[in-house]
Amino acid sequence: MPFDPSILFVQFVSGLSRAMILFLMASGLTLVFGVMNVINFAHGAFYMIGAYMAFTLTQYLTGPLGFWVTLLIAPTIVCIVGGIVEVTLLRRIYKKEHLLQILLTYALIFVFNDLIKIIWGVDLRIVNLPKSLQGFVRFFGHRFPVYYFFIIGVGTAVAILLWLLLKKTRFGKVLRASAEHRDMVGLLGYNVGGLFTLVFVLATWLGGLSGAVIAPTVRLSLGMGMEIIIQCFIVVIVGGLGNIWGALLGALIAGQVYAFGILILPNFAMAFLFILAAVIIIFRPYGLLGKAA
Amino acid sequence: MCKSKRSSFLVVTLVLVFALLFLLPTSALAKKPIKIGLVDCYTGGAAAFTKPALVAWHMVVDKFNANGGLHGRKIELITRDTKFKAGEALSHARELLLKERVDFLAGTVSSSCALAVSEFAKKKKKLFMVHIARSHRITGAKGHRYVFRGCPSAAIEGVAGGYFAATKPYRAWYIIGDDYEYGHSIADNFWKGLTKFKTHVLKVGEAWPKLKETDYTPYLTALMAKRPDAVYAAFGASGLISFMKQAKLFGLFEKVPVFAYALGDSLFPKVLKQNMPIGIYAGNNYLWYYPDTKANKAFVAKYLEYTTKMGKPDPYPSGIGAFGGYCSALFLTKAILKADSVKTEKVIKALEGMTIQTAIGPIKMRACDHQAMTPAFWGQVAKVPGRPFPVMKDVVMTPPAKVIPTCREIAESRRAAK
Repeated sequence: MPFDPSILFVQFVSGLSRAMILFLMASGLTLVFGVMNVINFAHGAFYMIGAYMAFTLTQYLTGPLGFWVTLLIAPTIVCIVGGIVEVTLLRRIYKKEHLLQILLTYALIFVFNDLIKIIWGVDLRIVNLPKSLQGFVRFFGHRFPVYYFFIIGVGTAVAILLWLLLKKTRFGKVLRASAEHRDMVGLLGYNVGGLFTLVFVLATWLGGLSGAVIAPTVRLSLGMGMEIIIQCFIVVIVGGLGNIWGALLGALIAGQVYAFGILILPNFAMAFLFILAAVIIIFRPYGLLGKAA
Repeated sequence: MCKSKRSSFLVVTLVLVFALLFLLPTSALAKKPIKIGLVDCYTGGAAAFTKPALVAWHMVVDKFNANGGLHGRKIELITRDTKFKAGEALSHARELLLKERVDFLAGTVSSSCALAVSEFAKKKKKLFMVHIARSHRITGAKGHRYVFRGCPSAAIEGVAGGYFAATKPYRAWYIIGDDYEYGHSIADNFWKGLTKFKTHVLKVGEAWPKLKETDYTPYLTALMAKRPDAVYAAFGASGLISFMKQAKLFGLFEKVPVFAYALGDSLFPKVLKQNMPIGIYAGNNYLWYYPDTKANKAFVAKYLEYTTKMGKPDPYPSGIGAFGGYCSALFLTKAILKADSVKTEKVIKALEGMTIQTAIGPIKMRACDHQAMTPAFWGQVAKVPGRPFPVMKDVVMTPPAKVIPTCREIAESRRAAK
């Protein structure tokens, strides 16, 4: 069978779409760790809520704009939930050790899992693609669904917007300062508590958005958050905790390693990623773009 | 005078007490329920099958109880959720046996859970009736005296799929499936059947994404790069749904014929709706619309009536869930009545060789391996006028005798496994 070089390009695009999903998730994760020094295991739960919200909303908003309105509403609901969680629960453990954070956020996973079970039941759910994004693009004799390009577009837009937020706005400057020296920022009169809430809200908004965006391509089930969160942690650690560009780089690496791994040795695709992550951490313990704490 | 009156009073009291002691237990025993411990996964994708299976169990048990039970003893079903984990299945089975003191164990949807509980049942010498899990090892290499299966084995259904695929002109095959016990079992058996009934077939590639994979995109592109003549999909319920959705996006079905095990089940068109792929080949163990016999229509009506009474009317019984559960429950309850006992050894003896009459004809429980000899159905998914969602056309019903491994092969595999 002759080897078709266009396959490489197709695999690259599929790796790219996978990378963008991971980036949307990982960006929220790395933001929370960078600024607030909190390891948020519950991030996968917000992704799951976003997906289930998208399901319910698309059931009711059936018009042509339904999906787009869903993309606006679903992450908003998720970030409100995130805000409540931050104010009532997370605030109490900021100064405490990491182990306590892990315990709390891990417990939240179970709580949310059961809440979703109570509200939505245990049946499999699917979300349909919006009509405007159905169809596919042809290149080199292969078909690639338009929706995956949409995902790539959303990921890129989020990356650029986050960068602008952090580099160009006052809020972004204060965020970066807090990541470096929380106490100093507090001494300067900024409301660090309120800042943290905003950051957490932003992170959960990103998590909810990634859930809503990926929903039409997968089946919704309990525990879907757990499946993706492990890969997100790899992405964030490889890229460097607290660094948005690191998250993007890590996600790109993860996506492509997996995509090409499947082409070469499908049984080891996942192993390649973990081996690569281990190697990177050995040589650069703070991740590719991370800095020493 | 007082002393004799007191002593006679004592005697009467003692007689009454002894009478009560003897009468009460027997009457209590007559009311003591027969307990069946049903371990299964009621969370996640598998619940789509286990819930209808449980409904079917209740249907059979209610009838058994309404007919007077076993000399007045009624069956009580106790369920436990395994969350698709073998460790949980095992601990629940242990708790059911030691604490609840169940007379029989039943379950599960997951093949790995079934194997774990089966080993436990073997040690404890308790009967375990498998009602959904498909791995051939359950009644094959890992089978034993105490495990029975009232639903098909991959050794029957997978091989029947291979037999069906052998009638089509495809030579170069790509196999893709969930990387766990069930996926590998239905793929291995399919390949066994295909190579047995057709020569010169070759496998151009295979891929085994992990069980909870959400994104099959890189697998789909790698698959299409190999340019196979046909593809065999060996996924569990949730994997199949995700894979079908994404494969449809990629136009896989227009490029290459796909054979999907279990996609013929009524669950999938209900969940996938407009994502249901048309034109692909699918198999299942039961179809609510084929054969179009009186017996099948009666079963569908009975199931609808029962589910309506429970508040969730279901006019299209699931083969994997409802029918598998129904047959397994029927085997067990009939055997209890035939043995006139709940003692494990007597029920085993009654079950071996027993035939039940079902909507799709008689099904026999083979004595040598305790596997129900079930027919398999394969066909092509199509939009048929008059049907509420896409169903199969050109259905081929393969009788079990044609494809089931021989008793000798089973015995050899069990010897080799020791």
